[in-house]
Formats: sequence, C-alpha cells, structure tokens
Amino acid sequence: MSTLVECTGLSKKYGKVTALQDVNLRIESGHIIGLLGPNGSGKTTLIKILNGLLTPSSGTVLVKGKPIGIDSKKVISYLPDHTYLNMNQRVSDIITFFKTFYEDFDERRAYDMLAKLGINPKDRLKAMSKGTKEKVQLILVMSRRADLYVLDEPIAGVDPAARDYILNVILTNYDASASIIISTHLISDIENVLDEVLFIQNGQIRLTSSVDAIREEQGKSVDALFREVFRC
Amino acid sequence: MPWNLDSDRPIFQQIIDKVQTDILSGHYAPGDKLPSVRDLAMMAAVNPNTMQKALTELERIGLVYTQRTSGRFITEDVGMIELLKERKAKELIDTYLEGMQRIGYNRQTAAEALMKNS
Amino acid sequence: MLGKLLKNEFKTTYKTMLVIYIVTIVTTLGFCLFGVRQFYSYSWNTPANETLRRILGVLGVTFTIAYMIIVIALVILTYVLMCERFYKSMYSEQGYLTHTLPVSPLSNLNARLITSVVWLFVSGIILCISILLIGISISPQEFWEDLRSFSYSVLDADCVYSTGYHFPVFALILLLLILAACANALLLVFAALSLGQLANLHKLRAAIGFGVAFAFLEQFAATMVMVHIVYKVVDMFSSYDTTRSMIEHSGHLMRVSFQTTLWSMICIFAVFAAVYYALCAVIVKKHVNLE
Repeated sequence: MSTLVECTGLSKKYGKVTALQDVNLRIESGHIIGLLGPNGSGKTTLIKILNGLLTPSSGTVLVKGKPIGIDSKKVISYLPDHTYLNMNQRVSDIITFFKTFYEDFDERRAYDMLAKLGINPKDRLKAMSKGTKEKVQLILVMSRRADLYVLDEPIAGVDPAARDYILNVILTNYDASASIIISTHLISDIENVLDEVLFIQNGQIRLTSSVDAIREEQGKSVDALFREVFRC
Repeated sequence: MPWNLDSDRPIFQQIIDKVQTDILSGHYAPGDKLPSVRDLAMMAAVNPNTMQKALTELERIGLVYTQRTSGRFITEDVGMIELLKERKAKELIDTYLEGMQRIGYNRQTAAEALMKNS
Repeated sequence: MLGKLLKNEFKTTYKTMLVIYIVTIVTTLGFCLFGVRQFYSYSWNTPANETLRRILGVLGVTFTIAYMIIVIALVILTYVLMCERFYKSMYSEQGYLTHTLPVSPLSNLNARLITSVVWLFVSGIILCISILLIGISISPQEFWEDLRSFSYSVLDADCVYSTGYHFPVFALILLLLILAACANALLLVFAALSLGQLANLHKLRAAIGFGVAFAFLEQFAATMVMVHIVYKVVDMFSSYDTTRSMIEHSGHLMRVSFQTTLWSMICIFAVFAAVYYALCAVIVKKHVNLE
C-alpha cells in the first residue's frame, strides 16, 4: 500500500464563495472510497482539482508524489458527471482515441464489455439512449489500468438494473493495487462496495472512516449516519 | 443476484454468517473449493477488501483453509462443522425462546407450541 | 504528443472540410458550365429548344447565385468552423476530456492553432483555384495569354521595380503576411473565448465582449501605424524641392512606402497574435474554469 493522493491545506474560492476550505486528505492505494456530501458541498470541486480542471486558490495536491500535470493525468481515470465525448463520433473512434492517448488503456476489455451489452462499436454516440451513453463512458473509463479512478456521480439518475450493472463493472475491473473514488449522494445504493467514506460539507471534510467501523461503532449504516450528520 | 445484506451490521460479519450458513446448509460440502475473492465479491456485490477480511476471519477460526497455490477450501474437519451447527442451532433457539417469552410463553409452553406446529 | 494531437485534430475535421471543398469545386464547375458560358461567353449559341433554354437559364442563375455565396462564405465558414471547434473541444463539455489527457496544455492549444491555420490556408488556395477556373472558362486563350504576360512581368524587373523584391522573396513575404493574418484572426477569437470562459456567468457574452475589444485595439494600432506611415511618405515627398526630382524618385518612394506598409502589417499581426497566444497559454496552463 502506498499513498496515491495527498492534499494539504487545499482551498478553492470562486470570487467570494468558498467551495473548498483547508482540505487535508490522504488517499491510499487499494481502496474504494465514497466521497459523500450534499449537493454543493464541494465534491465536484475537489474532483476537478484532482483532474487538473480547476486550479486551487491555495494548498497543494500531490498524486503519487507529483503535482497535478501530465504525470497525474496518466494515472487518473476520470468519469465526469455528465457526457463529455464528441457525440458525432463512433464508439470505435473513441476507443482508438483513448488507446492513442492513454498508455494504460486496455482495448480488449472495452470491446468485451461492449459486446456483453450488445453495443455495436460502429454506432455513433448521438444515436444512443442516455443510459447507453453513460454505460459507454463508464466502460471507457474503467478500461484503463489506472492507479486511481475518479467517478463523479456514476449512479445518479439511472434505474436499479443499470445501477447494478455499473457497480458490477466497477467491481469487475477493480484491481487491488488501484483505488476508486466514487462521489455520490445515493449512499445506500453503493454502501456495500465502499470500504472507506469521506463526508464533505461546506467545503470541509467532516468525517473519514471505514464503512465497517461506522457500522460497528455506531450500529447504523453509513446512509443512516449521513442522514444524521447532514440533517437539515 | 447480490446477497441480501442488512444495513446496520458490519458487512464482513454478515459475509461470515452467510458463508457459515452455506456450509451448514450443504451448499458447500467439506473440502469444497471456494470461488476467488474477486468472484465472491462480485457475487455479493461488496468491496473485495471486505470480502478478503471476512475470509481471513473464517480462516482464523478454522472453517476455511488456504492451499498456497490452488485457493481456498472449506475445512474437511466434519467435527468442527458439527460444532458450528450446534452453536448456530443454539443461537436460533435462543432467539425463538426470547421472542416467545416476550409474548408470555415459558420454555415448556414454547416447546409444546413448537411441537404442535408441525 | 503534439503529433498525436494534430493527427486527431485533422481526423475529426477533415470530413467537414472535404465536403465544403467538394461543394465549392462543384459549384465552381457548375458556374463555369452553365453561368459563365451563357452570360459572359461570346461563343454561346442559344439552343433553339424552348424547354432546354429554360432549364439552362434556371441552372445558370442558380449556379451564379450559389457561386457568389460560396466565394464569400468559403473562408468565413472555415474561420467560424475552426473557432467553433476550438470552443467546443476546449471549453465546452468536451473540454473535460481535452484537459484530462496526459498532454501538455500548450500542445492542446498548438494542435488546434496549427490545424486551423492550415485549413484556413487551404480554403484560401481552393478559393484561388476556383477563381482561376472561372478565368479559364470565360476565355481559355485570353486566360493563358494573361497568365503568360503576368508571369513575365513578375519574373522580370517589374516585381523588383514595384516591390523592391525579387519575385521568390516577395512571394515568401506575402506567404508570411497571409500566415500571420490567419494566425492573428484565429488567435483573436481563441483568446477571447479563453478569457470569456473565466467568467462565472455568461461566458459566451463575455467572450464576444473581449473579441470586440481586441478587434478594436488592433484596428486602433493599425490605424495609428498607417497614419504614421502616411506622414512619413508625405515628409519624404516634401523633401524633394522640385516636382521633377519628385517624379524621378517616385519609384523609390513607392517601394519604400510599399515595403514599410507590408512589414508594418506583418508586425502588427504578429505582435497581436503573440499577445493573444500568450493569453491563451496562461489560461490553458493555469486557469481552466470548466463548469
């Protein structure tokens, strides 16, 4: 086990609004971590900083000991919370694209998963349903052999069958030396696949714990604890 | 079909219970090979680390043993399985009696009610 | 990595551009065949058949209008498409993919800039080819004669006399000017879009604001420089005391003012392009602000 991500004194302000405040965080390899918090709590901001889409106002982030940049992007596989691919392209074009730019992309894995779902790689994205598009994106992201997978709201707005499929894909492709960060507010759905949770509120980390520790010490599920901590 | 897990008890304990039940019900015979941690985690839809932890615990209490190259197996010690069965049975009986006592039965009447039920 | 990015840029843009060029060439040929021959050619024999005459008439008018539109639109359309591609792939949802690729932010910018300059340039060449085709179709003999006399004049002393440069040098300078103008025009919009996306609200409106401001500044600078050049030329003219010596030196004056104007334009384009590029570079490196 080694440290994958280390955030020190991380803050992000949008004008006067503080999105993240003095976040100190360490993520080890070999975990599936739930990044849990209400809407607007700073989950997506933290994720965007990790992926180099936002520059923090202060503080540092190190990924495998290096600042955010080409090196960190090589080892992080990121699924945004919305579609982000060129809709005019065929799935096979996008696979070629991923293979070109990501050394760790496993083409065969991607085609296997597509075949299992019965998706024709020659189809264009714009001809697919919303759910299928989301599955294609997840397949692409999980077909990389990355050190860290960052999945922003992967199960928001999908039906229970699709949710099971998504969790299945995540578990199938999870490699013991990698870590996965899953941000969500639908905790009960994914609680069983997490081993660590991070509660984030108003841009600050409220709690970091293991799922079993919460259940053992509090005698309640993470979902129940979440509802308690974030009671409105 | 993911395993049916409660939301308020530690997941690894529930996995242990589930595997024990599977052994007692004969789903796994003594000496059977267990699926890999990854496959079990997939079947249960739980975190592989949690599954690993549960199996390690099962190994520690001796219900499961590891052969270094070929994987994990259910113990062949039938006496041990019998012991487990007795302990499980006792747990279930205790639960039954507790429930019956709460609605006004004593051990005797509870046992009679049980016999009549068949 | 720049190579891979460039390859990808061309791969995603070439189909659209190819369609545009094919349409341009087909319209040009249609205009040559049905428009020019009917309306401008001396050797046109109006067909006796009424229906045929009508059809040809309609075809002629249609292709003439289509050609006018294409000629005006080709370069503008290329320009707009390139700016749109830049915005979409850098600052819209697709930016999430672009900016998480393990490549340097500058390569992302460079790949788009190079691709866009190349396509703008190719569009310019296609436009020239199209105009040449029209020239040929009006009267092939005259066209070749004109071309011949033109090539004589540029290859002999004419070019040196009027520009001060031998033709190959002049052609290179002209190429430089065109490239600088292309890069300048593209980078103006790229910089405006990059600055615009920094705004938390109304990103596109902010971008348009920045674009207008840049264009205004550039026009202002260009006007200042041109006014300065005109003053200089007037000064030079007035330094000759007689009209005769003025006429004697008019060739020299013409060359000097031409060269000064040419190089001033190249400098203005290049300096502004460099500033826009620097702005883009700082933003893609440090301040991407995707919502």
